[in-house]
Amino acid sequence: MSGIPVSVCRACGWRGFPARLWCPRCGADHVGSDEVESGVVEARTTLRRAAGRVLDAPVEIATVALAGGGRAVVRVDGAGGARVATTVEDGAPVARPLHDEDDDEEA
Amino acid sequence: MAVEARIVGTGETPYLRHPGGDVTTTRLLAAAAREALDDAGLAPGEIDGLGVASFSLAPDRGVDLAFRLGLSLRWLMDAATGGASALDLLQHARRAVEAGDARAVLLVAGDRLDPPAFARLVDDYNSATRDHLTPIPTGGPNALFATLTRRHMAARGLDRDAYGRLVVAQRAWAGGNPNAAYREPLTLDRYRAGPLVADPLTIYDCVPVVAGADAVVVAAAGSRGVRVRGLVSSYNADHQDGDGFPTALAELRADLWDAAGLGPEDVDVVSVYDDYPAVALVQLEDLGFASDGDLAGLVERIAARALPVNTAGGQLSAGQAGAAGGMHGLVEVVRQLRGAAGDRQVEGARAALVTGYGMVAYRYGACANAAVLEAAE
Repeated sequence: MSGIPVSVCRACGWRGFPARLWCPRCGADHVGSDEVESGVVEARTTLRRAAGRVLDAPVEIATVALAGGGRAVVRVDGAGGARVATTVEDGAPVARPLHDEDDDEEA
Repeated sequence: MAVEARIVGTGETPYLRHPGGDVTTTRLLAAAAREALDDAGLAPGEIDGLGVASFSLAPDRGVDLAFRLGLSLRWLMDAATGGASALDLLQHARRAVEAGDARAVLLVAGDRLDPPAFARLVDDYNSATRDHLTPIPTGGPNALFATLTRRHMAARGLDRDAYGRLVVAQRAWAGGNPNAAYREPLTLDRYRAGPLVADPLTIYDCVPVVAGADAVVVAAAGSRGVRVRGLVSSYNADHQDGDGFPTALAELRADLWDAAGLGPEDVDVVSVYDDYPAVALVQLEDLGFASDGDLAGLVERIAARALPVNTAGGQLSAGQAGAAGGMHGLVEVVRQLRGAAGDRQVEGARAALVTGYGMVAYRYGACANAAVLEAAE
């Protein structure tokens, strides 16, 4: 299983998602990548309607602060607390709660 | 400066929820443009500049619109900045007129997006959306602004009613705008009971898609017309690394008011970009309309019309006609400053603020701009 691919500036260490070609912080053009496999949910929602109609299956969507830096919008698969494992499935960033009890401060 | 550019005419089509088959983007743009030219007292042959913003004009571009309208030009601009395109165009057109590159510039924005075209637009909005959001699927920006609104509620200690009061106040203004798509009164109780789109957002918090177009004419006009006292723009200010608030307007606030020689307390009427109510409140706070951070108090002033905001209903009630989204607010404040706002006229309106916002680069709008306008002497 692979994580969410973030950009990592080889010059200053800035990290972010999605990929950049130049570092937004220092301007360097040697930006590599790293796969991040965990994060913390900052805010979440349940999408129930799109394009003017009710969805057959609501979609759980969240903003996740990725471990080490950067934020990603993800689909949340499964219930649980704010700490999540992060991966990519069929092109979609996905987060799975790491434990059931919600002892984290969830946004 | 030898010449000062002024806004001398406006046009706006009715905003249509269910446009007929004969309604095309080109025809909507032409209708708004003709109304603006008539309002300015100018013939098409007197127009030598054209600026266009539209998501659905393709395969045509600005030069093709000039061809269809029979305009021969010395200045042409295609804006691709969505809800920020009106002030983007105005920023450039104003300088073109003042530099002598053009004498009279027509700015026009609008769209007819049927449901399949709208779905294609939001799914392929840009590469970040296509590659990382559409596979989730997010189905457009509503879910993104739902999470932004959640963060905003937590950060500012607001409940849903704060946004609801803004939405209800705008709907009351829409009752005076015959072009608005939604004019029937809305109560706070009905707002609270609105069907959820993406919690906490209901159908009343998400701009309805309509077909329509707006236009303004910018010209060297002597003392006639509405003056642009200050105009600031920002693109990709925070690299999408933050919460979506504050917007870039917070950093541009001093520049804007210094250029205008005015402050928020001097403004008689406001058009704030309102794709979502949280975004409207964020911009107003960024520009100093809630100096003590009291957003609930700001909403009360708006509801009481002590601060007239989005007096044509805003996009939340009038509708969002694609790229016309930002120009709707510009057209309305110009009408107000020219005493041409009919039943909803703000008496004695001399100074106005208008903002633009848009183009979700990944998680929230990457473009923000604002202008302070002043009535002719």
